[in-house]
Amino acid sequence: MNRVKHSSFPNTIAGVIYQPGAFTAVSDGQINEPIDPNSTVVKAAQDALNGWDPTNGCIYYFNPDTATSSWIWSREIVKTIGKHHFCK
Amino acid sequence: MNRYLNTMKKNYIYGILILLIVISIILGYFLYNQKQEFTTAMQNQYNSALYELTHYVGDVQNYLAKAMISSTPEHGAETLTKVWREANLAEVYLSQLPVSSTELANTSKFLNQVSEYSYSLSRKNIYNEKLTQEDLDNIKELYDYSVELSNTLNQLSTDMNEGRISWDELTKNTEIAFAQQVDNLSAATFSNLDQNFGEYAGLIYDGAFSEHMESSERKGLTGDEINEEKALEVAKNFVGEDRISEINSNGLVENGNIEVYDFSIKLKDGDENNPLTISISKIGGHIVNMNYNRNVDAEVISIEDAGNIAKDFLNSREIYNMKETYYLKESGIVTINYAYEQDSVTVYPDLIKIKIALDNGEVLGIETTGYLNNHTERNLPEAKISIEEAKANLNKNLEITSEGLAVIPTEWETEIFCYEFKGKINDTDFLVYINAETGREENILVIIDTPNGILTQ
Repeated sequence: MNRVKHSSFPNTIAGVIYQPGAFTAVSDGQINEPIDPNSTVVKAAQDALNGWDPTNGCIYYFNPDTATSSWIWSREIVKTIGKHHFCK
Repeated sequence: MNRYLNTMKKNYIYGILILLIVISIILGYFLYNQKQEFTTAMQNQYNSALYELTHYVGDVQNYLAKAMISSTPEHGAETLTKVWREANLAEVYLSQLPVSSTELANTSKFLNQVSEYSYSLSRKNIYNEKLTQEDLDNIKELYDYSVELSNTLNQLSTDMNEGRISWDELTKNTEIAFAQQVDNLSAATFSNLDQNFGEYAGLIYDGAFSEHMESSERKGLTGDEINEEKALEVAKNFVGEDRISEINSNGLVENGNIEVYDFSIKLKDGDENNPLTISISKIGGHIVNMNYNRNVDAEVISIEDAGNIAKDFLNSREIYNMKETYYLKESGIVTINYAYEQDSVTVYPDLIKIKIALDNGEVLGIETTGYLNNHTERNLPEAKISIEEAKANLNKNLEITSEGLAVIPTEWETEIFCYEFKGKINDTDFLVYINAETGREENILVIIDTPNGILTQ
């Protein structure tokens, strides 16, 4: 949602999600796996749509253990949630 | 006899081997063909995106050129609207290129800002305001960049067309190929622009960029700075100490939109792996957001009761004069939007959202960013036109169900003092906003029919 609002990214949700190379879950096809509607993932997505932003305005995230691009370290890290760093 | 059997066996094995080889060759051939088909289809898509992009950037360049010499507001508005549309389309096609988003961030930003800027100028023109010299200088600058981008893209299209480069090279080696072709150039050429955009956003036209959002004044963020210990206290009190089994501090989040202390809290009756999260602002110790998710299976509490619970909750946290404006119900949880009410005027920018579980009335979440960014006592002006005058401008088919005064936010983070009319035309709900000082129709909202959304009257 933060990317949709941000000027460096497409202006629609689909545009942001399917931007080439943007999300590994899209590149490897994980995105097409069905999800249980009661799962916390769905609830988190609903919260994001309703305006809850646990990242404080971040537009990037990465897992420091598995990150493949060193570029990502050049971003300013805002906070860490679970295994992921969130940055601007 | 034995020898005969052995030969038979050998022949049999050879036969199977040959059969297997033939099958793999045929299969391989089909797979190869299929892969070729897919590859060609993909390449065609990429080519199409590149040519479309080149076309639309060319259009942006041409319309910007026209906008520079356009002498009447009417024609100016028309031209700028075209810039807006073409820049938008260019951005869509840019995002379809098989190049990682980070490589093209500057180009994307350029197109987005051309689009936003031309839109805001076209609105100026529509209201018959002439463009200032500064506006014209900006258009000239944007035009110069668009010429460069257009030239690069044309060169790239030609190279692609004549087979000098292929998508294979570009995608496999994005960092050296495409990035150098487009975005490195853009990075260099746009770097000045990037710097200037700070000014565009804030000073020149108050654009709807996220940069601008970040530099908001945060009028509602009042009070003294607090330390982590105090923030922990606030969090405990807010959630209720008796419900907490464990609190973990995630420390101060300094470079987010609002500086906050972050905590994650395990509840006594809650799921171990799914803690409640809460953020407390460093300035003033306000709750910026709190969130907790669990399954809600039964719905025994009415939306009205949920509204009362939420209202009591706000009052107990010393947030007063909030008015429900919208309810949205999903899987047993209702999210209620509140706006601040000052002298019976609904102040929409001061927004708070609350989530209530409909099984036991538990407050599952609160989000106050809008309120903290905007809340202050307004100097509300006297309405210069009467409500009757405002009504006279409405569509005659609108059956008005309620009317009142409201402060609404604009895309440019300014506020407008309006009459608000809620009504129906053929079962579709509308909200119409008429400027209380000029009588101008500022905004019309259509309520999209979400099955569980309810607009309050």
